[in-house]
Amino acid sequence: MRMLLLLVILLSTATGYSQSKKVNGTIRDGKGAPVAGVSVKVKNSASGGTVSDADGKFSLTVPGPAAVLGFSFVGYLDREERVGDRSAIDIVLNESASNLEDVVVIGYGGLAKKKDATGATAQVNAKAIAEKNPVTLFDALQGQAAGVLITNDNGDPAGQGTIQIRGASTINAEGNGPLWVIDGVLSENGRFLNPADIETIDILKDASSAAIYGARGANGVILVTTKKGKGGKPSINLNYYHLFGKLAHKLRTTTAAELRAYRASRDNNSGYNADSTNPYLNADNDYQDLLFKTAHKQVASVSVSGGGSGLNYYGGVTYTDDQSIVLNSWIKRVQSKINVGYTAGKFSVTNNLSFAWETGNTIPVGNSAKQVFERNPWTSIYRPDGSYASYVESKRNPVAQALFNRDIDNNYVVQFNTTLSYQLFKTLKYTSLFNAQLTNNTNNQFSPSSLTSGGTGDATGSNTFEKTVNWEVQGYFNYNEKFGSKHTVAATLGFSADKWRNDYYTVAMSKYVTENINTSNAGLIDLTKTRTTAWARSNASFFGRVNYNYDGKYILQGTVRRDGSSRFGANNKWGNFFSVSAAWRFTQEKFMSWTRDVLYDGKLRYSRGRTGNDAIGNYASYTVMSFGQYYNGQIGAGINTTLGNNIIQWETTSDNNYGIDLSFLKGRLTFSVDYYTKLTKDLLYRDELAKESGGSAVTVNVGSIRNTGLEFTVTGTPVSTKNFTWDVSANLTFQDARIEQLAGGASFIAGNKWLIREGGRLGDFYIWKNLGVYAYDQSNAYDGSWNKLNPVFDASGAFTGYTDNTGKSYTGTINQLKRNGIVLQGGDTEWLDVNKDGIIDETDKVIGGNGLPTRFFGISNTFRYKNISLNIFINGQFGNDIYNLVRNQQNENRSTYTPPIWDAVLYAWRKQGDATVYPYFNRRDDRGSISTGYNSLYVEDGSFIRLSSVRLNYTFAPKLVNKVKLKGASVYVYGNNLLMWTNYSWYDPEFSSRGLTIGEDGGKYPKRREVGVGVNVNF
Amino acid sequence: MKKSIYSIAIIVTITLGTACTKFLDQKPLTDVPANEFFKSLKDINAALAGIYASFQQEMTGDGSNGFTGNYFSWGDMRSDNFDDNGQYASASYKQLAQNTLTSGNASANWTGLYRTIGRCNMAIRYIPQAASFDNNATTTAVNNALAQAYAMRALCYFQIVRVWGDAVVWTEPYLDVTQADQKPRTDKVNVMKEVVVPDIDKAYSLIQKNQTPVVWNIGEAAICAIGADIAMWKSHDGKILPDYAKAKTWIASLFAAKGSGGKVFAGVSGNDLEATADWKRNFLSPSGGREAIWSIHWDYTTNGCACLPVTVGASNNWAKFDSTVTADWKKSRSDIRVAQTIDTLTGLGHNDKLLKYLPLTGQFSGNTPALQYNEYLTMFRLGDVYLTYAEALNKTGDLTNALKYLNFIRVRAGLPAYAATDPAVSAANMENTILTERRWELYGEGKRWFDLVRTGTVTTVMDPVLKQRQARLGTPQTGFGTDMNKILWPIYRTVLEDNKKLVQNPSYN
Repeated sequence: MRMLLLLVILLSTATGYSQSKKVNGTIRDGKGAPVAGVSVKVKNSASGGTVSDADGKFSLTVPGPAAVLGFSFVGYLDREERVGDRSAIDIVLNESASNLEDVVVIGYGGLAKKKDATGATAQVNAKAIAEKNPVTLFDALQGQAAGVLITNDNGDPAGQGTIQIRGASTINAEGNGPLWVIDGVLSENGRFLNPADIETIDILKDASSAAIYGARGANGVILVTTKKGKGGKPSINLNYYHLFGKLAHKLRTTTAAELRAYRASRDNNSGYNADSTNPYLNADNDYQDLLFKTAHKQVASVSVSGGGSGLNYYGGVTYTDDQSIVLNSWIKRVQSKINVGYTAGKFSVTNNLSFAWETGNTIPVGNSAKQVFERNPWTSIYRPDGSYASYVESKRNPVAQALFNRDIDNNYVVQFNTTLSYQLFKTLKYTSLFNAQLTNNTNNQFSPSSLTSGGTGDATGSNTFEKTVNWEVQGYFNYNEKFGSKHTVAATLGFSADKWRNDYYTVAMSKYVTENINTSNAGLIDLTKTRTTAWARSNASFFGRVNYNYDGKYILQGTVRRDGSSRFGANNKWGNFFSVSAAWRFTQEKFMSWTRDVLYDGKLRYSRGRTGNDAIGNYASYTVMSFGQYYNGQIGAGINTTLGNNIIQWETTSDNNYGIDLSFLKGRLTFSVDYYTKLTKDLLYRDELAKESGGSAVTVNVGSIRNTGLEFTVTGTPVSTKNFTWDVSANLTFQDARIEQLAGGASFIAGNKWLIREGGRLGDFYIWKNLGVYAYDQSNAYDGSWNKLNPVFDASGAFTGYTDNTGKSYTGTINQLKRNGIVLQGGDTEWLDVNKDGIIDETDKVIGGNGLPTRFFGISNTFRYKNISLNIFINGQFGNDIYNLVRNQQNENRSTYTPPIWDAVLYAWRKQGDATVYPYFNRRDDRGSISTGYNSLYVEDGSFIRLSSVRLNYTFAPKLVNKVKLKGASVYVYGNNLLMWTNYSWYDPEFSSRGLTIGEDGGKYPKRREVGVGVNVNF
Repeated sequence: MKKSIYSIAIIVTITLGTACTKFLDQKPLTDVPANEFFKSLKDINAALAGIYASFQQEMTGDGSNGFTGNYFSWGDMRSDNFDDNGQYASASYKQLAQNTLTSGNASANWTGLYRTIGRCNMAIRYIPQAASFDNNATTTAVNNALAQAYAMRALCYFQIVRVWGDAVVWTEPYLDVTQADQKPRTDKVNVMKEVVVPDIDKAYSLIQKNQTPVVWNIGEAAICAIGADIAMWKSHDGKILPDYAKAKTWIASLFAAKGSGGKVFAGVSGNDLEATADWKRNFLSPSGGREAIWSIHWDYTTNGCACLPVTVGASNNWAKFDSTVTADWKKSRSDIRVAQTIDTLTGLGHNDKLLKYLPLTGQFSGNTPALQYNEYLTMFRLGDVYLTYAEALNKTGDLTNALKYLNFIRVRAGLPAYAATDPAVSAANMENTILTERRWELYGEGKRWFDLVRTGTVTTVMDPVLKQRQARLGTPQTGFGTDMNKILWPIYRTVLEDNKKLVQNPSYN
């Protein structure tokens, strides 16, 4: 009995000692609305804590009255509450005016508050993404961050674009894009992601942030975190919008009458059809009206999220149906994402499952959207029997090409990612991640007989199948401990490995038995276009990061990464990357306390580090025998003319970043400036070998490029009253990339036009400088030192002599310019004779423009009045030129039938004395007067400012929607690409370029102007 | 629990660390590392096919829909055989027709010939090692393969000497990129003496004699034909002089060799040639014929479009017949070669269609899609050798036999034989008469320009032709001009940039 009593006492003491109890409560914001998703944790405890549900409610077991609960949520000020003897704790979280408390993702489980971040990073959150109604990540990111230049190909429904972080730092065409890290997984792109499923996008710009990604970090890193479920009852969100699009910039085309007059004058009244009674030959088409139509873009998405007792889930499905402005140009896309997380004590697991499918028809832009300028306007697109006409005068029918050429993609991505983590100690957590992904792209092409010349040729087609499988495994420890009240140390240590394998099959057919069947049994296989290929690569890495924070004032961070890659030779597989950075929050110093009313927070940052770029061929270290050429039935083998280099290494980028972050008026105004210099060395570079060696090229590490840039970011709330607020965020970037050094100082010309030379810039056009057209035969006259002379004519028009540029009569020697061995005459183009030898040739080319912008900006304004909000987004870029190759080719007069551009038709040189910029067409290019591709006449300013998007949103009052069992509802009107200011004469100055061939418009998918409505419902 | 997780993490880390070296080793999935090749007879045959394919790509084209081969640019286009096709000609072809070559001319690029030489160098170096891995690689098989590699190398260097003069000499494969890739040019006389002649002699000594060859490959007779061409060569500056005795020796050896039909060429009468009615067999189905020695194979199903700039391709032809061809030759109604060689109609779409390599007569009226013709470019045939022989005989004073061989060709063409008394075949005129006969017999066979250079007749033949073309363009009518440096081609611009030790040919920049 006594024993029993003792036991009871012991037990009661034990329970009394632990005093563990359950606490619950509700979290509301300043306006009294419940806040879901708030993280609630017991301070200094290893347990995972909980999150508030959709009604703001939470419940948690705490060790005892001494426990302190920490409440934190993005956009709100953190709060701590001692539990005491309460069992119900209701909390009010105040919205944070500043973004200082925002959590920045820094990779491999690392998180930092914005106020403590040492590197140059930018964050785009779900709210900012939603304002832009984005269909792709390029839409979502464009103009949102300083130093991040997004070139968006969003006219094309399947178009993506390019992202360049902090300038072009490589001359390697394959390796200019950033690394994508999606929920921790290293990825090649983010194509399969729906922007609506994204919680935050963090962009790591400097080496100190990106060095944790080592050999793949040199072009910056984009970290995408997708949405997770919040606690509580399921929250269902529906969103639907419908946009109507039109060709944004219709161009003036040459009319039938203009073209007839032109041909009559060129061909002495022959060569054009004068049969005025034939309806087939008496149209006056502007093919733009026939090819382009109103686009319909519809996007519907559903997401469900919720959770409870350690479980959280988020599922989103989006369906996009885009019928674009060109006939038969469309895509359909399904993107889905399921994130499920489960936490049980110290153990947590997260599963991400993604599935995406995209299908669509790619129209042949060159044969349709570009062809509208090539076909003569007077021919009908229909034959008399109503069928579509084929070629006329060797020019395709753009409408028939768009309608009947099939180029159907069916692309699938499946990704499964499991993350397990275990809290070993209060301060140490181990996480392992395993990801597997299958990307399957297929393509079917078919071009029917009716599209061939004469409409009777062979139908051709192909079936293509490409499969990429990759897996990745990561394991890392995250350590986080506070020593005393002022010292905080955070560290990460881990490894990762990944492997990729790609298989590609393509079968091409011709001579189809029937045009209804596109598989190889119905056609003759075209062996020249049928092949299979494959590649594989693997990487292994070790990495670590240490962060030390003294009292929120001094922050130091260092990272190290050791990377191994199969792409490099046996002795060079491994490389090391490191970075250090420091920040000083000077406003935390006592002597600065007096500024706090105005300067709320101020931080100076410095970082430096080294990152790499491994974007070379998968097997660049091997010298191989290649196969595939056939001779008399035997497959030939020959040494591959691109030799292997077994000492090849990644290129390395070293950068220095100087930054300052200022936050005024309690965060209502923030201002950041970053200045960086970035030196990329050991450029991966395809070095041309002396061709006599039998080899053609070898990849080497040689040369360097220096990038410098200045980035400004401002966010602020100029007005904030009870009913009206105005938020602004803006960024502006200045950048410059110069080539410092090349192999042996040798320059080379990329893509026949872009000169790559020491001291030059990437994107330099190397062309002839057009000085106009000689008005008279006598205008081609220069004095002994090649100063131009002015011919003088008397009243009757007879030539009397020359005057020099001071107006004095000139009787000395006359020099004349020659081209192609011919003395140039009236109607020929005058070129700048750089070396003053009287002959225009290769040596007279100059830098006649540059395709890279030097400045770009984005400004977002959000106005809120009661239930109405309005977002206006403007972006732009300056300093880049565009080579308008389409215009140049129209005017080259190489084909008898291509109509020149209307102004050339009207104003080209025809007789002595004509002052014009367009040469005499009858001489075609015999005297190099057109010089397609190298003529500075066709260089135009590519600067633009675009009213990129406007979104007007009305949110119904909660009371109203609650009556119909909804949590929330809003409707909006959206406009895209509404206005544009540019001097560029063609469709649009914004289009992506590949590699070094930057800024040439050779006929792109035109952009559209869109307006539409949408609705968003929550229940 | 904690401990076990630690251990697992550590074990995983260590295992990964040690497994890394192997894990990071990824061999090419589509190619074989060069040091693992040349280990069997199959490898040898593949390497030989690679050499021929490289040469085929250089001469006929790469199979794309463009006009990429150089057979006509080097051999015909600079001569009076062809003119540029007006506005449709590429800038390069206009330069060829107007003798205004620049270093930007696409055909001034010798890269493809050196690629072929590089493959020959690999073969010569590594083919012998295959014998130690594969019993099928017998001495005969190895020697026959080596003979073809040596002969092809001789031919490529000979072509470089004929087109550009001095050549950069590589006789070993370039595999180690840490070694210098840039070398200066060697004087063309030395190239002939040290590479071209020794290589062709070596090829002849290695080839198995008296075998029935494959007409698409270099056999015994083809080696002799190349040898004869080499011996006949005279450079424009007279530094390389012909050796007619040696040429006659080569031709005698050729007559002793077998053709692809299994018959010894013999070379004693017109009956050893294809019959008049079968003349076109030389071009349409040379294999198994009496006359064919070596033609370049083509199979559109695997090689793509032959796309010759004078026959038919995906776009308008770059070249058309020179006006003298249609004006003079077409009148010769008894010459059976006319209608079988050219489209005899005039005007756009006709005056640019060479029918020689197509199964068409008189007029281009193909019902085969343009990209699906198999066109076998002739490298050597007995008819060519007969005329070369006549030239060598004439040069060595044997006018009687020279006339005999000339008449074999004329009679076969349906023309009357020249009587010995005909002034056209007098000692003074014989060379020119042979030259003219070669022009028609070998029209579009890549010979004419080299014939003009070798016989020193570029100026006399080309002056009037070029003056007429210059008049058409409205430029000064200077004819070929007096700058004989222009007989050689310029070296292509990027080739100069890639090898700093090269010096451009005089009179070009």
